[in-house]
Amino acid sequence: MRKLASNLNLDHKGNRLSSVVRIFEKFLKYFNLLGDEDEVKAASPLSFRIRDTLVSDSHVDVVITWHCESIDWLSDVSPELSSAMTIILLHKIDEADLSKPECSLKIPETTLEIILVRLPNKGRDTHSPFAYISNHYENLASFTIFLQAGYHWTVGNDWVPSEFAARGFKSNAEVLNYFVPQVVGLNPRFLPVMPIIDGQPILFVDRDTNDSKAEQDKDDPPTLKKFDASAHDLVNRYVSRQLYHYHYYLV
Amino acid sequence: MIFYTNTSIFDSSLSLFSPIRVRETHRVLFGTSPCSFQTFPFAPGFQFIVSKDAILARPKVVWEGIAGLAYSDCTDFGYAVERLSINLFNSTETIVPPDRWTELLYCNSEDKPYFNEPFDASAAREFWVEKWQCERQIVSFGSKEKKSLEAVKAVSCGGHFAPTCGDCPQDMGEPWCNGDCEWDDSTSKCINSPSLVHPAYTNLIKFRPFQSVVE
Repeated sequence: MRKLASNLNLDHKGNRLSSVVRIFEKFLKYFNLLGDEDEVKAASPLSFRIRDTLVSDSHVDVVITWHCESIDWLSDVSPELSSAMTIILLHKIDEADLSKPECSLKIPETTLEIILVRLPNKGRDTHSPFAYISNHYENLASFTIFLQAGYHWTVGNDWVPSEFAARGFKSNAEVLNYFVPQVVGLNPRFLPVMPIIDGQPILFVDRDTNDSKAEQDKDDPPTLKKFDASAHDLVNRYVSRQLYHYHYYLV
Repeated sequence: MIFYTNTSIFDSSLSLFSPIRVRETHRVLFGTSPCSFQTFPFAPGFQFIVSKDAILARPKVVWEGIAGLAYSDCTDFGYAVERLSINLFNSTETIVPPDRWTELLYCNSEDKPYFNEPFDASAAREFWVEKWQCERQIVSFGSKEKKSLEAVKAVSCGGHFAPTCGDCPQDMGEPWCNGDCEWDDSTSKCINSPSLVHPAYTNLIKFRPFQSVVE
């Protein structure tokens, strides 16, 4: 692969960056951003590798699915974590998005090691962990954190009743500043990135029914929250209407 | 809790009306019956930390297979697999080899009457009872009396269903003994599988909180 020495400090609009950013040029080629003079061979947009060797113990890879959201929060990640982790931006973006004014393409100044990989905008964030794992199965870091570039509301604690004193996170930078030292020290197998109550992350379940919620929830611990039935399931949405109708009007 | 439709009642133990896509996805990936699959906690947003050991606990082809499904035109898969992060990464729940995954029924644009509007709950019920081979129960609205109309195919063998684990192999031996069952080398028989689930996962299911972690 041709070196991109002159581009190492440039973002994909040509702006200078002070971050240590490595860009996978085959993806630039994929979006025809390199011009015709390069000799990069066409590659599958889903095949990428950020390293070919094993990393040191306790290293953390942070894989961020990024579309057009601002990632300025990266500049708030503690510089002390720079040597402990690598930021991998899976930039899921189509060529048409690049010229949209509302699409943030800026990679902020930071001392973090950042690797940018462009992918077609397909598969949403749920595709990213599996694509990343498939491409790095042989040389994974000790821990991998999967995040969305945009702040996900569930990470905060403003929706949790204050009496539970949930430990929440106001930004993705707070998430990394908190969790990266934790995982290096505690060696967890799997941890949801969620607010914490008494050492337990809050989790959600989908309700089977929206009837008698108080009765359903009476034995739940504070670390369990619920999405209403049908709220996240197209099928359920229709079924629930039918059930409500038959239950209250026909039976 | 009993759910009413215009022609039948589903006992909540079948839970046919809770997230159908999640149950269907779990059926395909893990080979277990969706009829008794209960919903359980997940991390919304699919944001999590996972150790190398947890990833390597499953073969690479599994992750490649799921990546392929997530990248397909069946976008519903993404919403469903979001609910299964704990099953995939924090349990020893046996997964079906990808070359034996069957089609996700909600992805088949030719065969999903349950997606059409106006939605026909009766048609949907018939669809899932048939596809999933769940126990069929019909109830007369007047008496709410239940009658069993079909023999129950009670266990998943992985790629197919059978009345009991002993019926799974069908002369094919161990390769046809998966899902709810496992092969007993000492007797060369297919038997009910003991819990293959990680203790932390069992605790999760039983008590709802997650494993002890931070702070």
